[in-house]
Amino acid sequence: MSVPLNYYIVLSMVLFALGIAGVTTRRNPILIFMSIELMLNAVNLSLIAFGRYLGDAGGQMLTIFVMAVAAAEVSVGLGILIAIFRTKDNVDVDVLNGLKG
Amino acid sequence: MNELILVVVALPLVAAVLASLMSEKSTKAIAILGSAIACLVSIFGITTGGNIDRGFHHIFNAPWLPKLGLMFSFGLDGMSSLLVLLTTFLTVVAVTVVPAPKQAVRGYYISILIAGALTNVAFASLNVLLFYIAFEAALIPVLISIGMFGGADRSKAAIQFFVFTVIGSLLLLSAIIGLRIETGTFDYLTLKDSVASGGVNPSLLRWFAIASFVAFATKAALVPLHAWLGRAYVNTPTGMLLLLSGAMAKLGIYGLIRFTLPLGGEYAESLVPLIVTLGAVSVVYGAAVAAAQSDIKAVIAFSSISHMGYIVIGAVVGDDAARSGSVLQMLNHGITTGALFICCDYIARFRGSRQVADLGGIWSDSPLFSRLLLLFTFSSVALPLTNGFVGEFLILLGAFSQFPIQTSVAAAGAVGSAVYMLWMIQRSVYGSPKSGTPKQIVLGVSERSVLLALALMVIGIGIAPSPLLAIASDNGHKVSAAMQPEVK
Amino acid sequence: MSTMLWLIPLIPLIGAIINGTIGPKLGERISSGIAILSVIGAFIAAITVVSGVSSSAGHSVESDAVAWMTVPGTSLSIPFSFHVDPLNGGMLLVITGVGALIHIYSASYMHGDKGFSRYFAYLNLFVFFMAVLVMAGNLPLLFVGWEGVGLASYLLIGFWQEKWSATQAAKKAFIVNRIGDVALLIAMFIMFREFKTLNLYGDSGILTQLSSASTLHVQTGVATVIALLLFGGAAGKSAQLPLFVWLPDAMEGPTPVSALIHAATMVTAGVYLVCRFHLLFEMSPLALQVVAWTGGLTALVAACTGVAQWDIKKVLAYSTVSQLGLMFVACGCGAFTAAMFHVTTHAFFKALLFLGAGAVIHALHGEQDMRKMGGLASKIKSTHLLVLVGTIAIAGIPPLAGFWSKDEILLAAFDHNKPVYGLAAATSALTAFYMWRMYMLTFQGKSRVDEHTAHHLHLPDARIVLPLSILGVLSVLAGFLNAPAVGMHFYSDWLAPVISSPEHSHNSGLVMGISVLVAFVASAMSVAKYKNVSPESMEKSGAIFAFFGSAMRIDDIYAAVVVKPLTGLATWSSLSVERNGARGILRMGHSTVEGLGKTVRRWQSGVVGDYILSMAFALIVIISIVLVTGTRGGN
Repeated sequence: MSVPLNYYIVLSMVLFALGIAGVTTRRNPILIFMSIELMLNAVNLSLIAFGRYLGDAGGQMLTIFVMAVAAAEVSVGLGILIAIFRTKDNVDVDVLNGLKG
Repeated sequence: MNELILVVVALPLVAAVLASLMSEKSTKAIAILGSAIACLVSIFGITTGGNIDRGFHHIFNAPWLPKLGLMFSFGLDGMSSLLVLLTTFLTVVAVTVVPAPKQAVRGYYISILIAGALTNVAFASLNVLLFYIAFEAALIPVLISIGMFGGADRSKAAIQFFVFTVIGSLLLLSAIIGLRIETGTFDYLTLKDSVASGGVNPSLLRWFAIASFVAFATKAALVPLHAWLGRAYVNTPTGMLLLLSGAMAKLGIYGLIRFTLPLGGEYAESLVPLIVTLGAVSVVYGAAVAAAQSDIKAVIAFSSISHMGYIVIGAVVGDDAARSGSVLQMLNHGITTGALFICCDYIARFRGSRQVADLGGIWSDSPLFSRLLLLFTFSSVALPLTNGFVGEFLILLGAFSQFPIQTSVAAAGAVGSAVYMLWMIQRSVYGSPKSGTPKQIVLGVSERSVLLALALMVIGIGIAPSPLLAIASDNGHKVSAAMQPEVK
Repeated sequence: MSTMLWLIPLIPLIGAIINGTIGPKLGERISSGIAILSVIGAFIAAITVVSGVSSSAGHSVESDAVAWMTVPGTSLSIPFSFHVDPLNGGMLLVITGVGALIHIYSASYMHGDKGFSRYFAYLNLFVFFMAVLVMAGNLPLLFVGWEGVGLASYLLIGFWQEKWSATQAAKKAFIVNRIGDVALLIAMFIMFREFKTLNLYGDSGILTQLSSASTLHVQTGVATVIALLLFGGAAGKSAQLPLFVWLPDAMEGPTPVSALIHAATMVTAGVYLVCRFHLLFEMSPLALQVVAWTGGLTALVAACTGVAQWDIKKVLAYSTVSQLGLMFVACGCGAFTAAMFHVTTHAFFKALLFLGAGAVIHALHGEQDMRKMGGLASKIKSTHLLVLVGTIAIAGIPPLAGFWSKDEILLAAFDHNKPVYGLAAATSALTAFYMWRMYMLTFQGKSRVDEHTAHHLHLPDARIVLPLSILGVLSVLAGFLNAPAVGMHFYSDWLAPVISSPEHSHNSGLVMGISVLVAFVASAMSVAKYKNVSPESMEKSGAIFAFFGSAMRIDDIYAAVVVKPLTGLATWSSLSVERNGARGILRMGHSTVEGLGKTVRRWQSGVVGDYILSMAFALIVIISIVLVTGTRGGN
């Protein structure tokens, strides 16, 4: 027995929507990172599901790339975050609007 | 000597590179040497001649980006020969007569050398895209020069200058690209032939005529596209100003003769009455504005608008005498106005001010300088037996039969030029010094010899213009013939 | 012979170059020597040429043509070429002859001036340009001389540069002249269009074309326009209404300059031009009318003004304007011979009067106000005697030169244009009146010279008296060159190859009688009025006197009608148009961009959440578009 493709897609959509909601509403950058991870994993899930469905290994390959990039991104992002915290004493993203036009 | 242009362009560039490597003290010597050799080479090369193709000599071709149609293709006709001579000569004058600002000697000379070389590329280019690139790139050293060494108002001047010229140029670029898409080439001679044979879409030619006219009229400071000129000229350091007013502004006129009229088709012909009218307006308007200035450099800057008005009229009317006069007058304007700007620089340097209210009595302590200044003034006023008269006379004589009213108005501008130039002379040279002990204007050997050489040119061209007119008319004939395909 | 033609202008030019470059190092004696000898050299060359003219076949001598402006590929080729015929030959003799005398005079007059050699350089330069003007074989070359004498005049009026009024007057002279020059220039352009050439002489020359009426196809209307423009040029150079304002101011220059340039030679160039083109003027009755009326009105206005001057040089200046007006009356009445004859005699007696006035001014250490003169007759005897001769000559008392030449003009006016005759006759009367007034105020009556000056009069030396004497003799005798009443018509015979002599008029006796009567009565009235004039009466002057004294306030009218609006225009274009108009375009461009930026910048809130929301929103929009339109990406 196999799980139909639709289930994976719906789960992926839900995860992605949760991620977007988290990114837009949270003000703590750590939580935003977590939400981003959620969105990435939602995409990963659908990539693997489609890969399996189409019998194409490309989906799994791409997922590994995404995970590697995500890890790199998080480490760089956390580094920046710490640097910001050291200088500004604050990591609330609503307050950090230095790029305001 | 077909590589003439390469040599003439490369020498100042090599000098510029050398200058950036050597010690600051030797910069001036290198700049003078490089530009002087380039000047001598251009004189020698142009008088000896080279291979000829459809009225152009010293033809040289080498690929740059052939897929884009961009080629190093050079060639000279009478008009561009004279303008190349003028540019190389003015480069020598520019690096010789005026001392560089103390803070950046190297940058000052290098920017002048590069500006001169690029202007020469533009004058000699037979590839439309190459012309455009040089036309635009020559602005960069000027802008740097204004921005770094300019007068009090330099940043505003640089921005206005840039914005004005770039808007015109972008229009020109769009038209050039249009031509390339239609005809598949950037080669000037091919383009000219296909336009003359009527093989190009008229609406495209119409756009080319309008766009190139706007670009070139801006460069030539034709009223009402002159607004950049006053502030830019007043704030440009004198050495660069010689090139800017003497050579680069001529790119506008050159472009009208070389590109707008032959490549603009019938529509360009129909623009001629408008251009002539604007030329006449420029003559009068420039004189009026010049008369209201209190800074002598501004007087001469605005007088340029007036003089360029005459040159534009002669350039477009399609009469051979007027065209030759116009080409000659480009040379004359470079010499005379350049000399006047140099004089302004000396006055400012020794008297500490360019405001007429602070000046006066220069004659009584600097007689030689004052005599030369008076001579250049009368050349600017176009007194007979000076160079200015020959050019203006031929322009007006040639233009009169087609445009009597505009020509008469322009001729009346001669009164205006007498008004502002003599007013300036009266206030600054005559009378007695205004304040404190006057400082004598001391000319060094090189400064004096350059001014005397300019003075000799003023009189020499006034008395014996025929050799130059012979070179100039070489062009005039070919271009007018190209404008009337049935003659071919 | 051709070489001689070249020598006439070139010798003075060489003199000018020597004096202009190394002059200051030469010392006064050598400097003035070079200048004087160069003009005498030119005079000798001119005599040789002119004597050759009468013996030559076509009554004219041509020089070789040397290339000047040649445009290959067109028909345009303008050479340096000279031409002398009886008309300009006579002018040449006057220019170089009187010029030489004035150079000699100047050597004494300018003694000790720090610009001594510069002065002679300018003066030689003037002779050069004046010779070019009259000898020019084509119109552009004529224009060279025409503007060149303007340049020399500018330099010499403003010779004392430290003096504000002098430089002001110089500038005014040049600019007003330029207005006339532009008219001449445009006339030249029209002639080039009509005649297809700029040469004056030769087979296809303009004057040759004009003289062969059968093949001429120039319409009367065009001829009128050209003639009026030429006259515009002449009016500038010869100081006619409305362009005469510069000449009185030109007296700021050294007095010998006033004598040479602003009395004897340059200002008559306009008359020469009209006479040169007399065939053209004869084609247009309207142009002749304009010339006659302008001349007549100028003559009268200037004469009225001359009556009310206190400055001795101003009297002579207005007198010159007035006499030039009479010459144009002659031209306008078709009596070109009379005009040229008056040019010649006027050159003699007006140069004499100016140089005499200069001697008086020199004697009085620079005093020019006649209220501070008087009683000088016994003190500077030779000068007095010669000025008296000049006064009699200009007043039109027979048998001196002025009588004969003026009589010819009046006769022509009487025959052709009675109202203008009235103007001219009134002018003659006034001329006699103000010239005697000047003479009486200066030389007769009680001395009003202050004590110090009176004891230290500069007495004229030989270099001053000699030129005066020669001019005095000429002023007495020159009239007999053309005195038909006593059967002498050498001058009209001489000009006959160029200008045909008018037929003999039967009004001759009547007009001559009136002239003599008018001259004597006006002179007598003047002498009687100013015989014992008291210093007090000079101080008070009525409103009319002041009005005439200021040349009917024409300078003020100019200031209000011409100068002020033009200054306003210049200021307006500089301040309003330049600053707000032209730069306004630029400012408009930049404010549009700035305004746009201000609107769009609000989207850039700096809050990460906002960016993500808009990204999500955009994603939704894009996806829905793809879904709705059914477009698929890729293949």
